[in-house]
Amino acid sequence: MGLTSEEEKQSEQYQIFIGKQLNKSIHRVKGKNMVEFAEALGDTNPKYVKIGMTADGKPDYSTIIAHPSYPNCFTVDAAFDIVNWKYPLKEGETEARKLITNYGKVLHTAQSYDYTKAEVPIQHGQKLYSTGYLEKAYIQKGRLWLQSHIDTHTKDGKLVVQTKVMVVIREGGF
Amino acid sequence: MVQLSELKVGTELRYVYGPVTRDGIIKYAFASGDRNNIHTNDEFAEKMGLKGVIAHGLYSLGMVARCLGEIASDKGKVVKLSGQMRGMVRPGDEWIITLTVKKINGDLVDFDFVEESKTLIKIEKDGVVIKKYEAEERGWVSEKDIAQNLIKTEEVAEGILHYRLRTAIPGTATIKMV
Repeated sequence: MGLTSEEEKQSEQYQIFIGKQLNKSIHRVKGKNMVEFAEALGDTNPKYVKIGMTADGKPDYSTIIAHPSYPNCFTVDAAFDIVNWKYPLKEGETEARKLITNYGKVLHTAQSYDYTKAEVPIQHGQKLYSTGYLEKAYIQKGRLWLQSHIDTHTKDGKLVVQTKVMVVIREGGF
Repeated sequence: MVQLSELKVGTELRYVYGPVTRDGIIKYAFASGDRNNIHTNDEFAEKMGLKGVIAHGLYSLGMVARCLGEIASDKGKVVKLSGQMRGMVRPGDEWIITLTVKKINGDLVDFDFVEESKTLIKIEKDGVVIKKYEAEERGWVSEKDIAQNLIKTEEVAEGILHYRLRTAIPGTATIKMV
């Protein structure tokens, strides 16, 4: 990260949050949403949007796969749990201080998706569970940087994707 | 369209998407579930010091996934994608994505990529500004952009177009051949 000694000192107060678990988020995968997500990116690749038809005339979403960046739909919820985090209550305080005081100051700065250990693909009808923890927290150039690691599994525990989300909170937001 | 099997180390692929629109950003906000007002409400974004709405960083990264999907076609799948959102992308910008094959190891093809945003500023003819784009009107181009030599020009039918070309997202990706 290349922090200065002053930044390292400023970062110390955030170390209590490292390893803290994010709230588990639950996401129901719907074929209709998978198609809308790909279309929002202007992506008309048939593998993401060309749905079939069942014998009784209903949409058949088993013909499509999720767009590779579709996990945005559930990692955003999972990662933004940190918006609700608070410092431990200190003596004399009646209300714990918030880690992030202004949501409008939060910006995404990095994201990764890793499917290499995935056991099953993302498919219509799945109920997915995202769990994770805060991996990094530091001050650099006057901003607070927070990186979360999130694993997303099916109901029976099969991994579908691993995600890392880095957000930065600008001055006035923490 | 390039075939996955034809790629060699050093092969460079270029994709241009856009322009970004406010409607497109809102559509992405609803599709992804990220409805932070800095992406959808100019007034709110200005209060947050952003000089108007910005596209989601993940919307821009999604455009990289889009071209990777094209490259993979039905002969491969995207197994890794990682990007750092460095430059804000705004309505009117174009995404210019350049992917370079870094390594081919068995059935895995590794890429480095750079996604740039092209921001139209103004058109001049005979030294007179004949058209101003939103970036010029709202002050989206900074002194820093000028100092970093990010402002470019090109001849267009109406005159000389001034635009900014800067890195929005650098990153890496991997496609697995199937």
